[in-house]
Amino acid sequence: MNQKLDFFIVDDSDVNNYYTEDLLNEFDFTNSVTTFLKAKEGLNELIKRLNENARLPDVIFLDIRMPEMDGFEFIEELENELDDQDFGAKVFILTSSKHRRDVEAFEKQYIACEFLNKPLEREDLQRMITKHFN
Amino acid sequence: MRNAKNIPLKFLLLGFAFGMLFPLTGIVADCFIFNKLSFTWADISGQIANNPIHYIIFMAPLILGGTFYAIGWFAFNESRLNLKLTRTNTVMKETNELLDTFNYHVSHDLKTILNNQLALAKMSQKYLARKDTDKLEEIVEKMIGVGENGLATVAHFLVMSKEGYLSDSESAELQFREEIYRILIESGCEDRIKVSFGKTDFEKLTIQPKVFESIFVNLLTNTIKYNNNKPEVTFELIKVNGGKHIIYRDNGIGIDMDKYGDKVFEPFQRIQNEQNQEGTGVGLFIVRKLVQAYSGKISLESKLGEGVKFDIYFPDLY
Repeated sequence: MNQKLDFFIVDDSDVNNYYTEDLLNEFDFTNSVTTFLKAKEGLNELIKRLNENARLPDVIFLDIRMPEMDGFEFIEELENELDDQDFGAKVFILTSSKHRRDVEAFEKQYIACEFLNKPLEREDLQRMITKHFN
Repeated sequence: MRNAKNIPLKFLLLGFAFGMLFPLTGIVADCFIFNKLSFTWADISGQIANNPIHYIIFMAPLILGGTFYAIGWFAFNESRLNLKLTRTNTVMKETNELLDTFNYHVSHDLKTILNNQLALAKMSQKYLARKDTDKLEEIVEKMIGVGENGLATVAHFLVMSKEGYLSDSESAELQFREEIYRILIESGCEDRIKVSFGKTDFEKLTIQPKVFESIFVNLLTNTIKYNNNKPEVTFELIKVNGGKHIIYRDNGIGIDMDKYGDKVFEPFQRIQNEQNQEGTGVGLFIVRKLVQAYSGKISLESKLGEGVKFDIYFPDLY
């Protein structure tokens, strides 16, 4: 793989971010990792980049259950902002939930392309990078 | 309470008054029919002596009074029983809904703890192979944090079982003011918050002591947690028609009502705040459930930076 990737992690659990960031940094395909403990801050950064036509991250790992704004609210706001244009970044749900409620909500939206469970496994990461970026 | 206890007595009077109609009608009928329109006492007593059925008729007020009293007593007890049943029913229905949501959140939060622990263990494995002790030390530090957080999370969830208090303790007449000071001392908060009383129409509140404690410990600790000043609370206890109105005002950071509104009473709602206070988001949810279990109401008025005002209303049920 020749492409270098920029990652965003949106998750209020700093332990999980610590782990995921550490895992991503193991791989040569990782260019940068930016973490956001608050969904709103991650969203604002994306909206800012969209408005400025700046470079978007390649991959966003998004948690579901976070205070104030949860993962699906994040997606909804992003959908409103995009207004049917294509979103350049690949979004992956990264959650500890396997609950029907969350899986159904995932199936109803278009922004996120995969539903992954925590902790992110090395094999899962490699598989999905190969699938989406090769 | 006094009013409700009068119900059988009212029935007794009604029965007695109704019973009185029988002897009175009898005497009047005697005068019209047998005494040829004579209303003298001699004629009336003559008729009474002539026909012993009068004595039976004269018993009517006593018999009917007694019967009505019994009916009143049963009706009162049944309505009290019904009220209790309705309350148990409401609590059960809410407990069921609660359990559903509870299940979702508990399993999620426990999984988060275990996932974090697993993630850190996997990292340790990796750095152990590389013999990177600095990194390992950092990871172990985090593992301890996760464990401690996990225990706190479990403790928070156990608070939810306070709902169970409703079924196993009896109501008592509490001295409001004394009870507030007592729970402040018991929770070790007496020096961290200043409590004062404004208008005080009533001193006593009939409620299960555990429920009272849960409600006010929740509100008072919120005032302490979400505060940039020295925490202060003012109570007003106002007697209103058919119930008691408790006003709780604090000087905390307040809540943006346009943004959150009644969401604050929903379970697992956590509001982002500058204090970055930890919480499970069940406190106000429990408070509302407990108030509702007493057929009461609670509402919130607030502005960001201007504290909160809770209006709690309890009807006088019995």
